Amino acid sequence: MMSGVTQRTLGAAALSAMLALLVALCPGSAAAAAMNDRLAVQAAYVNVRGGVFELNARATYPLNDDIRTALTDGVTVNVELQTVVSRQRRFWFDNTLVDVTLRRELSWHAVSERYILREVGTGMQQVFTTLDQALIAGGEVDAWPVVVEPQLDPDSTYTISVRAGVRRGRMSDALRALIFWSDSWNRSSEWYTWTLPR
Amino acid sequence: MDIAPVRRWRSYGTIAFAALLGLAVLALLARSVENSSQFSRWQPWVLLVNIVGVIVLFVLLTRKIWQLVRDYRNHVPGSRLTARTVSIFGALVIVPLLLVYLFSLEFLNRGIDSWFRVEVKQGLGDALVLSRSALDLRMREQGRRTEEFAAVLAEMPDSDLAYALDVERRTSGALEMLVVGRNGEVLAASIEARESLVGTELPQELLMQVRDNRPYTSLEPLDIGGYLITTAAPIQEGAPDGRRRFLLARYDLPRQLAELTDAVQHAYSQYGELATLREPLKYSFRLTLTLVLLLAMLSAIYLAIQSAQRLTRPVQDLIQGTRAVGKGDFATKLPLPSRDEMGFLVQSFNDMTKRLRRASDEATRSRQLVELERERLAVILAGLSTGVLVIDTSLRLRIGNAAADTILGAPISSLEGQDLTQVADTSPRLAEFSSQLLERLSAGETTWQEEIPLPPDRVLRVACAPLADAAGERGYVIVFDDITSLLHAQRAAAWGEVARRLAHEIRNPLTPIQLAAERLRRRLQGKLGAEDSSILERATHTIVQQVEALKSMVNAFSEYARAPELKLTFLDLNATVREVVELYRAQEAVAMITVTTDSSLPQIYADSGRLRQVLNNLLANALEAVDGMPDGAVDVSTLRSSGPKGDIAVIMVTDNGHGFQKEMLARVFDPYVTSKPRGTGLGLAIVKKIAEEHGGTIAADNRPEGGAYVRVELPVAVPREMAQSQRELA
Repeated sequence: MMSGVTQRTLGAAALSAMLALLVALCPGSAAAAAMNDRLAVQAAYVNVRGGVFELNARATYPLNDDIRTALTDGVTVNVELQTVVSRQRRFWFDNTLVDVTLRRELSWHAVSERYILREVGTGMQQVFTTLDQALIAGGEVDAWPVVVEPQLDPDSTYTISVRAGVRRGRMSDALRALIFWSDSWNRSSEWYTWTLPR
Repeated sequence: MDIAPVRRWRSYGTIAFAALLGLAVLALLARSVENSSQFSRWQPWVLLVNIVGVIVLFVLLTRKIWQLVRDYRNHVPGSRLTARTVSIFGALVIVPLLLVYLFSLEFLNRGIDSWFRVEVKQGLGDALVLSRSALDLRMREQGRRTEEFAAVLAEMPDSDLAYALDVERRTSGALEMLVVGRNGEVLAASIEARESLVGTELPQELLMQVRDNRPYTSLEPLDIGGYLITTAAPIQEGAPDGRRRFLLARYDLPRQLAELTDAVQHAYSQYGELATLREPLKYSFRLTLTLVLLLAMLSAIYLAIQSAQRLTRPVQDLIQGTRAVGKGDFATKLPLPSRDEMGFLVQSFNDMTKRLRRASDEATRSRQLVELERERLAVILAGLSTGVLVIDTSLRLRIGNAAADTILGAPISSLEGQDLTQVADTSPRLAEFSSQLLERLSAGETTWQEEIPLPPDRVLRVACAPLADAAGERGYVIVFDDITSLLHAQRAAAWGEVARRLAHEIRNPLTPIQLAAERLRRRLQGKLGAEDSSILERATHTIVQQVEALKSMVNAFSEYARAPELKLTFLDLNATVREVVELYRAQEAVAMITVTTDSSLPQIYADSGRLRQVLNNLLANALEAVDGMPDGAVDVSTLRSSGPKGDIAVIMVTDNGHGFQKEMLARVFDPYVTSKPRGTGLGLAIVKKIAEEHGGTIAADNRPEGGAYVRVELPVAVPREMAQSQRELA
């Protein structure tokens, strides 16, 4: 059976193919492709503690020189980890139970010459003197609760999929609408999928 | 089924679908703007819808243009007008669109470039450097103070550390001051009554620097706002145990300075973000504008073609209607397109075709009437025994009836339209007739009446009158009769009168002359000498003979002039012929006489005696013609034939003699016309008279192989006038 994530992947691939010509014309697309080659979820697993499924993951967010330069010029980059929990169904599409994204905002504080990694959800931030330290910290996810036991049907099988993504951050909707089809920064890794342990 | 409404509804459906698609795109855009998190989900679909819209429009437009080009090449009515209208509409739409597009691109590029002028970037850089300098000064001051205090602490016993830290913290305005041990443990601390950083992990670079006996200073932005200056300095101690401690102090950046720093950071960050979006923004604007231009242009051209076709459709209908009317189809009625000027034009066209249809119907009826009248006239003319010719002013034959054909011996109907001067070869009679007509008409004689002789023996009575109408003279009407038979009859009547007078005047004195001669011979016979008696005998004999000859001639005259008193009965012509021939066979042996009879010949109604006289005269003439010829032959035959008035019985007497003299042939049936030295010239005249008394005709001519023939035609049925005369006699 085809999983919901796989379907979304295929849908995105189809759309990507249809927009290939347009994307090819976009400036910086080559650099983006190079970056996308290495964007990946290196490892991920789930611990069940007290009925809470906690995700632990390690993702790499390698940024190319263009984005690094843009970052020091003041651009904000979001590093994301999207997690989807789906219930498998026979003869029908999978049912998406949870679709959450852990979003961290990476920015360069020019005055203090520090890299700041801020949790978008909580507002907590960390300060780093180097970008690599910040990226490593951005790719570390420990004990992130994604689903609780009561949400799951005991007789069903669930899959959990994780993928890493990079987005351009801190942009107004109007501005985002203007450049939505030429924003080459929006990239995602392949899905990292496994069956949810019970 | 009418196709036009289907097309119209299909067109409406396409427009409605396009409108719905546009609304869907707008809804997607609205939802995307409301919720930026959904934007990335919707944006491909929005783009896809736009691209699909462009492709669909492009396909529709290509199809339309192809149809237009095909119609143009095939010269379809209205295609050129449509193409011209589309060209004008297209030019009116495309040129402004392109102008707006090009100016918008230029304006966009210049506008976006103006946002990132060098002066702005330079100013921001300077502001950043200035901020860093100010903060650096502040940090160095705090660091220097920390180092100085660390030197003080090196000489201070541990018991005084807390107090000294507290005093110094209050004096310097630090948030906290800590004395930290080698392993990071806090040995002494003075903390402001706020959230302490004690327990937080110290930066690695801080630890590394103080272990290397170097001071450390840093500035960190706080997630709660504001900035924190962290300074650390090793406490140089001379203790033999080698204790290593360092002083850690944290200072809060003054609010005003912090706000200024935030402002500079914010401006720098905003500018940097915008600067990185410079080319994508340009590209997005260009792409958006191009897509909008394509959508607008393709839609405009498509609508232009639709509008042009809608505008020219009534014109196409008018062209097709005009062609149909030109071909004579006046029943053409065009559909009313609208109530505007075009509708008025179409209505006018329909009114015109309606009037034309009425006029055409009227003309058809008039033509039919004319044709009917013409047919009636043709029937009348065909029924006339009088010849009628119509000649136009150009002397061309226009009309000729059947009697004219018969009289002139030429097919006049086939010569209609020909000039009179060109018909001479058709027949000698027509040639002479047309010559006579031309002679008179050329002399300007338009109204005349004359008798015109035609070769060989015809005489026509001709009358000419101009054919004129309100428009003037249009030609001439020539009416003519063949009066040859009439003249012959008149001549025969005259000769009959002459014969009757001659018989009457000559017969009366003949008897006294004969009697006187006989008495003279009886009285003087025996009283005269032999010589005188002989003279007397010869003289009286001659007188008596000549009187007898004169009596014979008088009898013949009398016979010719005698009024018809026929004793008609039904008789077998074949039997009569055979009887008469047998009689001659028995008497004469000068020639071989053959008889050929037609067994299908019915009995004819005739006078037996007169018919025998006819046969006697014809046989006598034939035998005289072959007299003296060693191979003389006479053939008598009967034949059943058909004539204009029904069946006829033909008696044909043929010989192989010398034939008729040519100069006499035309008058061979006239009295006293003979080539024989002792003939009276009344034999054939009498035959002709008897034949005409029976309602028949007679003809004579020479045979091509030699000899002559006489042909007598007698009616088989009883002629009405003969029956009438018989009834009167009874």
